[in-house]
Amino acid sequence: MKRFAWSKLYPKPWQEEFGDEFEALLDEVRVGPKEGLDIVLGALRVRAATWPKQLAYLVGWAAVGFFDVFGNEVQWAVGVLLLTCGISTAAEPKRFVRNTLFFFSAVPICTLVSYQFRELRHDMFYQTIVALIPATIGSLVGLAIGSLRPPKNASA
Amino acid sequence: MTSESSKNEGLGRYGEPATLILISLAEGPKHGYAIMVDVEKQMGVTIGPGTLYAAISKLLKQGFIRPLPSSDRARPYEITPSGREVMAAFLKTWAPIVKIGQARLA
Repeated sequence: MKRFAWSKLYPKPWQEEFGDEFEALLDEVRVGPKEGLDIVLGALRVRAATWPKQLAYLVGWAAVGFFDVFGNEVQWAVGVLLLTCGISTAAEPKRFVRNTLFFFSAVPICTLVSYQFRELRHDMFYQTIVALIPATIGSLVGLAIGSLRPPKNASA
Repeated sequence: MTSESSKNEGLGRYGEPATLILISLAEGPKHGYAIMVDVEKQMGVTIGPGTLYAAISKLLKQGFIRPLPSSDRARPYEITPSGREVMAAFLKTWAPIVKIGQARLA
C-alpha cells in the first residue's frame, strides 16, 4: 500500500527543494504518531515562517479568541499551545518566551470579554465580533511593539 | 568570517537539533537519514523528521552546511568552514560549563 506523502503538508517551494529527500528519509523511518506530530509541527513552522510577523500575531490572537469563545477547554488549550509555540517560534525564534507569554495573555482577556457577551453566545455574529476584539487588540499591540523595537542594525 | 555575535545567534537557545547535526556532519558528509541514525547511535538523541528538516533548512540558509551533488534521492550535506567556526565557538562556550558541572556532581 502506498504511504501518505507527508511532504505535501509543506509549502510548494519547500517541497521543490526538500520534497524528494524528505520522502526518501521517510521511506527509511517508521512514521508513528510521534513522528507524524513532529512532521505536522515542522510543516506548521515552515509555513508560518513565510508569513509576515504581524500576520502571525493576528492569526495567533484570532485563534486564541476563536478557541476561547467557540471551543471547550481542551480545544482552546490545544489550539493555543500549537499556535503559540509554532507561530511565535517561526515568526521570531529568539523571542519565543516573550511571544508565548504575549499570546497566553490573550486567554484571560478573551475569557473576560466572552463572559460579558455570554448571553449572546447563541448568536454567530456576536460570537465572531467577540472573537475579533482580542485579535484586533492583540494585533495592534503587536504592531506597537514592532514599531517600538529599534532597527536591527542599531546596536551594530 | 563569521562574527562572534552571529556565531552565538546561529546556535542559540533553540539550536539543539542544529548543534547535533553540525556535530554529526563534522565527521563527514551525510544525508538526512544517516544524520538521524548517527545522532541517535552516537549521542543517544532521537530527532524527528520534521525537526531534522526544519534545522537543515535553517542551517542551509545560514550557510553553516551545504548540499553535495547526488544522483540519489537522498541528498548529502557537508559542514562549511563557517559551520565549523560556529560549532567551535559553541563547544568553546560549553566546555568549561560541562567541566564545572561534572566536577560539582562528582
